[in-house]
Amino acid sequence: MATQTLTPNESPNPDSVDAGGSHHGPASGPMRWLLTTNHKDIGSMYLIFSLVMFLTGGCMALVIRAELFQPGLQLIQPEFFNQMTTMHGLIMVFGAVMPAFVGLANWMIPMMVGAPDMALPRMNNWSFWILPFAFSMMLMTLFMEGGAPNFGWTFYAPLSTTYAPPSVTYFIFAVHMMGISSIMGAINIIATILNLRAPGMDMMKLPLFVWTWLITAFLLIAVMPVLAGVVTMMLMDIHFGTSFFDAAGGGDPVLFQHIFWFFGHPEVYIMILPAFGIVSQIIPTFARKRLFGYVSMVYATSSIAFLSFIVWAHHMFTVGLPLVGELFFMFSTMLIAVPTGVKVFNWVATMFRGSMTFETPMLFSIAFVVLFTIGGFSGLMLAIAPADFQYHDTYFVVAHFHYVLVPGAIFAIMAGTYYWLPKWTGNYYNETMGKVHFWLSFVGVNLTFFPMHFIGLAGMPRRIPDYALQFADFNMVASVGAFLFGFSQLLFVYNIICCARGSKGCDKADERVWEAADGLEWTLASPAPYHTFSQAPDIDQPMPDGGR
Amino acid sequence: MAKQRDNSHKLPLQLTLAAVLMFGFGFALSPLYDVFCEITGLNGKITRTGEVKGVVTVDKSRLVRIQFIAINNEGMPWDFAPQSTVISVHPGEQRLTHFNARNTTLGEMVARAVPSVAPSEAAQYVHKVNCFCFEAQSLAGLTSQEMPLVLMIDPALPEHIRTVTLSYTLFDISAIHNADKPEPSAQSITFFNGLYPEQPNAYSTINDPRLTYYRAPAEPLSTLPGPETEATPSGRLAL
Repeated sequence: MATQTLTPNESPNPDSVDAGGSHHGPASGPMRWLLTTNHKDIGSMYLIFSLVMFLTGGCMALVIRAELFQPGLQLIQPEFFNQMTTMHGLIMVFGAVMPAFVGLANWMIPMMVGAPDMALPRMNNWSFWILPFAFSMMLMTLFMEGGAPNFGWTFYAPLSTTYAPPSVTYFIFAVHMMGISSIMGAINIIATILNLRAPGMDMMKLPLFVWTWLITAFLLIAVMPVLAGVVTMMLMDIHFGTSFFDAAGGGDPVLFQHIFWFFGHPEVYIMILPAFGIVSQIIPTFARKRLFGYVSMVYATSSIAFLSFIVWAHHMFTVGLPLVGELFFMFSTMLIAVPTGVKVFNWVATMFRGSMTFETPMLFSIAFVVLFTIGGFSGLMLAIAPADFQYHDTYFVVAHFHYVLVPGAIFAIMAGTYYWLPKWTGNYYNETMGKVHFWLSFVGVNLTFFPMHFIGLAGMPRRIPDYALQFADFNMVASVGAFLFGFSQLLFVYNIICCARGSKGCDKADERVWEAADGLEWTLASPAPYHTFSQAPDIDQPMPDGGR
Repeated sequence: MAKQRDNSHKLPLQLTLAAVLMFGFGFALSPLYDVFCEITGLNGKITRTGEVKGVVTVDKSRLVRIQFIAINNEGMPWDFAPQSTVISVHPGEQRLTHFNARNTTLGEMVARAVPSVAPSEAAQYVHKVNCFCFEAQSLAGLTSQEMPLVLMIDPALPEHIRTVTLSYTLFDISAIHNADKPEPSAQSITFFNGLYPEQPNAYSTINDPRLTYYRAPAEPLSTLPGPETEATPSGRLAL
């Protein structure tokens, strides 16, 4: 204590000072969250930020579904509808799903590999604090003259260049900032995993969440700069008289789509690989069995990542690709079903003859396996080039990617949150409330997105505020489901708050938290101390009950 | 241990370098895309232009049909059409044909024709000796001109290709063209005028018919009747 130089209003909690005199608690005072370099603090901020963005993007989704409740224009104008679809997509992809995974990585990866913190803690702080500014800038455009970006989250040129509202420049800089944030986060995660593993933590002993994130981080470093490049080209086309995407000046609008999807397809795996990792952590715990096929999981994840770079043009089957191109991208896309199938079968095999219990994280994980597979199958249908000419730009596509993103990525994030919440807060969440949240979400998601398959096949185009009468019934069902799903998330938020506060009904958690939980993070106290693994743990020491 | 320490400093730098290189790669995709199309002939782009070098024997044994298509890009008000919509040539034979263009507006306009060949496989066998599409075409108001095209089909054209379609899309590039000059010659009132009063050319929607039809010199747009009065105060069209 005597060796410290602390001002009186910074005096740390006496309990958190060890004999060596270094304080273990968080700094106090208003600057704590702004200046923190602690991976747990930053992880929490990422998760809270993504929750706020999830609710914001969700409100936009509800505006869309409210307008689509009936045919005709009831609530909003078509221009605003387009802004809503665009902002909903951008916020959910870049503001909700990606930061949530980075938040989970921040919290869990150092604890899973036995590291004291992330490898580059100051950069970690920076990569988080860029995000609120990026998204403030993005959301600001809603109040600008000419309105927010209205060209869809894929911002195809020339819609996003020649015909864009003036606020597109703010959009471009927001994308630059979130790109820089993601790249820095990815560098940090790779450096942590490769450099800070505890002695004895070999690569093939890494938990799968760490493995999937390692591969995801490499994908991020490979493609986020390409996204930054494509928006920079847009910026130059709009303001500096270049013609990258303007045919009149010698450019090519199709070039935009090639570059965008060169980023865009790995991006969809960036949003799903960490989800695979989370589910691969949870299912063995509640099936009380070792994960089936660990090594094949690692190789499958790597193959998916590799294949993601050579399939991008399956988003562009209708631009007039030559036959050779259509065939190449069709078959390479279908090839992805093989490693993905390996993963799905491994999860099922893990559950097979396991002693399963159905706590909330497990419910979400099982729903993930089932519903993600449905999304995968509709993806296979879309991969068939001749059939895609009918499905292209219809609600079938909307159904497909919402099935892989909502009960895929989002369910996995929720499962992970419930799974690790007792480790973060020291308290169990309210299990009953969790289960109610799960069932409401499960029913809501399926009510919302399953009918979209049918209206899509029947020909309803995406991104339209009004539609033909024959689509009315299914749209009404989808809107009801969307409101059910949307409002049931309030239960999730309430449950988290209760758990964090340790309210009545939230039991104290022990170290292990779950009966069969396995991994270094479960050897730490619950809640996890502010600083963990200042001394590298002994990997070879068996788990409390001998491990598995 | 010392080795590990070295690595821990290098790794973030290497990763940062990788990110910077990928940013460059994004830009490199633009020329690479053209190179790829040139090599494979995929995009229907014609790369063989200028005088024919060497001796080419005319293949009298077969005739290839060449169809001409003229398309106006959205909002382009010129009359634009080929003089003959289809010709038959022997491979190796040079042939001259013309397209007609007429500027139907009052003001001077600059246009560029962007060509495309179908089937794309045939693109590498089409040799353009001279083409109006090589340069921007400028026309004063209400004038017209004949635009020449000299081309040759390579005798190496595969037997199964009997018809080649040459399509030209005409783009209005007056705004881009005028932006290079200090004083815009044409009246450049724009679609987004309410938003960018200080930059009349910045967002001029090149292809907007409301703009090009009223591109009369020295006459303010506000005195002309027309659909632009439907523009809402925010500068967007009322639907």
